[in-house]
Amino acid sequence: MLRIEKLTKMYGDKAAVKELSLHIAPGEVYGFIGHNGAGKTTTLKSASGILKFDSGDIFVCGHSIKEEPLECKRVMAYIPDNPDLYEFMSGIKYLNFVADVYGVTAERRQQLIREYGDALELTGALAQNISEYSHGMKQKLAIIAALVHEPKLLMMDEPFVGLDPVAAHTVKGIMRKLCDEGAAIFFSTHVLEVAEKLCDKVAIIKNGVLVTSGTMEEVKGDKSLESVFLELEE
Amino acid sequence: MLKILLKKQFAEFLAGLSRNRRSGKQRTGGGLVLYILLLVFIGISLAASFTAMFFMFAKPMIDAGFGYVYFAFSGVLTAMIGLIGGMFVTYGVIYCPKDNEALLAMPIPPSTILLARMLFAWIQILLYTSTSALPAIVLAQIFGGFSIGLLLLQLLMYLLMTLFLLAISCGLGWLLAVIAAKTGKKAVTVVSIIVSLGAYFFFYFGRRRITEMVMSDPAGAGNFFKKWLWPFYAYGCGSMGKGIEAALFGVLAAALFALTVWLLSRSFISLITAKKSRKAKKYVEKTARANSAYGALARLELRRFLTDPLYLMNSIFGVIFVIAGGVAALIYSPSLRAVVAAIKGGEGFAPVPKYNTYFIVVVTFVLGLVSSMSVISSSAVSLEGNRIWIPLTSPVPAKQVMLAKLTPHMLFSGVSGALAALCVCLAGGADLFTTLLVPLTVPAFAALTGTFGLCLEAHRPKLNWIDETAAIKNNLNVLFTMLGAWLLLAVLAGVSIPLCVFFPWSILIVLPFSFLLFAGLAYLFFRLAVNGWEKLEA
Repeated sequence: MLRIEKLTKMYGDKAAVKELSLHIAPGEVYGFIGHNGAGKTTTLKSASGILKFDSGDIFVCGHSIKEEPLECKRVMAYIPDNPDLYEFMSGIKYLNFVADVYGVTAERRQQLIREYGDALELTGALAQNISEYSHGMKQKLAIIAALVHEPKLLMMDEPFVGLDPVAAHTVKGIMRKLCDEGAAIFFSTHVLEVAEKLCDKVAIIKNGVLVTSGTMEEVKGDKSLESVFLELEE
Repeated sequence: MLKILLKKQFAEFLAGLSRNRRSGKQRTGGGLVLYILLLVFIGISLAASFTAMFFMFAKPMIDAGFGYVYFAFSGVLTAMIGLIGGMFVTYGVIYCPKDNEALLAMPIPPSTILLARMLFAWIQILLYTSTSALPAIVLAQIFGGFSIGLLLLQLLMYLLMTLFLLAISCGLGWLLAVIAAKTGKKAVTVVSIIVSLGAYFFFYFGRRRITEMVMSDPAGAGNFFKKWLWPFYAYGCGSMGKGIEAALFGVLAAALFALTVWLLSRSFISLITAKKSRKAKKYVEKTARANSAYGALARLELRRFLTDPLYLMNSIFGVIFVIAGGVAALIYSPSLRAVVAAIKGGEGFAPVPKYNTYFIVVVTFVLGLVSSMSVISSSAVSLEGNRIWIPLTSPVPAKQVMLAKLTPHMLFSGVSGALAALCVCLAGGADLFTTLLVPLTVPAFAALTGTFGLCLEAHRPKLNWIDETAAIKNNLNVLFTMLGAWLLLAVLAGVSIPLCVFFPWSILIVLPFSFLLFAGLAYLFFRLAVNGWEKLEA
């Protein structure tokens, strides 16, 4: 579903990501962990087409993000760490805007908005302007907007920040369900317990270099993910 | 603390000009130098026009002992410039920055934050008003005899005048913030347009009346200032060395400033943290309607333009003036036909060789010039700010994104230009050739300015703003677009007007050539904009 091959991204003379390769298969929840400034967001942004990179390539469903960006974007969704949305719109207008952009039929969007809006308890607030939303409500809206076009690949940067425990639990359930239905999820997090419980596979990045990756068992063995992470960080 | 906040404010302002967005490194200063040069150019152009105006008054009035009327008059013009620009600057700079709440969370007294914002606004007012006040002082020194003492006093009076204007501007900015807090930004948009248009026409006609009065009856004008516009009378007297009036004006400006700071600090926190006081709307599910991706993007751009007071205010006046010009042409059609007849010795304007056809070129270029004041597309990418990830991750071709961003510009500037041109042609009794070509050439020029602005934006947007005035008012792309448009028109006018004066039949070439040139360049810049968007990253 997502194949990152020898990705290198430079900021001036500094390499934010160096020769990073990852492969995320359909049905996998893939966690991406690392310290602040390790290169997680840069990798996610490069994979979603927001950032241009210096070398390597990224393939989404076999399409290169460099050569066929639109084909890649059609099947994926990205949720940034800070949900900056169009505040001059209401929640429902924003969702309809996203659905229009992705060509979702009227019936299907209505069904999905109702389903995810109810699940995340945002339906009642959809008529309000986004400027009136709290951080958590914006995060929920960004998640619904990402799901409304039924992406095959969902990339999320710190998706649980700002969500209340109930919403976080619901999002985890949605993530699992999507992957069970054949989608793939690639997300970054600092919450190692969440990664440990939710992810099928995990990758740890340090100073732009992939330190380890694989199934949860392969990476952590008998230890906890936290102790593995701390050892690798030393 | 005030110094730290001011340093932060200037760092923010300079960062947008001098920092490379991709590498995050400091530029070599090219952008900054260019921006300063452009500002200096605009400042000099404005100052030159004021110098030309004051030149007529300065010597006769100072010689006749009416120097105070001369300065009072210059003070009125300075106030016009300061207040029109200042009102929106103070609203944007004081109440709209995104970091207001972050600063409030720090151990900084709110009054210090307010004062830092006000001082930043004051510097902008100083820049605007220096174009009229300084030429007045220089001419007074030349024609009234150089005196270092008087010069220092005149400069002091000017500084006090800017303080006086800052206080009033802040008051007006506060009024906009109150309206925004109570009823939302849409109301601010409506109020702003009404107030600005009202102020513009009031000042325009008021200035004409005052100018006539000052020229024909300086003593009467002096009495008028004393009776109705006392602060300007005191400013005039003070600038001519009258100590009591100078002191009184100083006290007035300082008191007004102190009162404004006190009043604004009382409501500062409540206004910047205010949420619109209205009942939360309950969502009622309606049958959804699907639209095309372009339609969704274009509607988004239109909504952004129509709901953002600062964006709308910065771009709508060219549209209003162009429409007003078209309507005025229809209303005064007989007078227009008489003027045309006087110019070329016949009824209506037509591209017939024996007639003088430069008039057609002038009409076309003037409409283009006024419509180029509405550079809606020159902020279209910058205004995405931190939300740029939304269009960048959307599966929409760059061409459609750029077309959507151009839509408000073409709908407002292009359509208004075409309609106004058609009105002028019909009102002036133009022939078929002119009636077809002029309403095509004016929107073609609007398309050129729109795509040029969009091209600059796609290649060099200003995305990391805290205060959206940076993306709209202090955006180099807006300045470049306007100046580029004016430069092109000046060059074309410089060639085609003499050509039509000496060879009237050349209008048959000039008009189609202008249309093709504008349309061709618009297409080229659109392609470049698409190219820029494809390479854009955030």
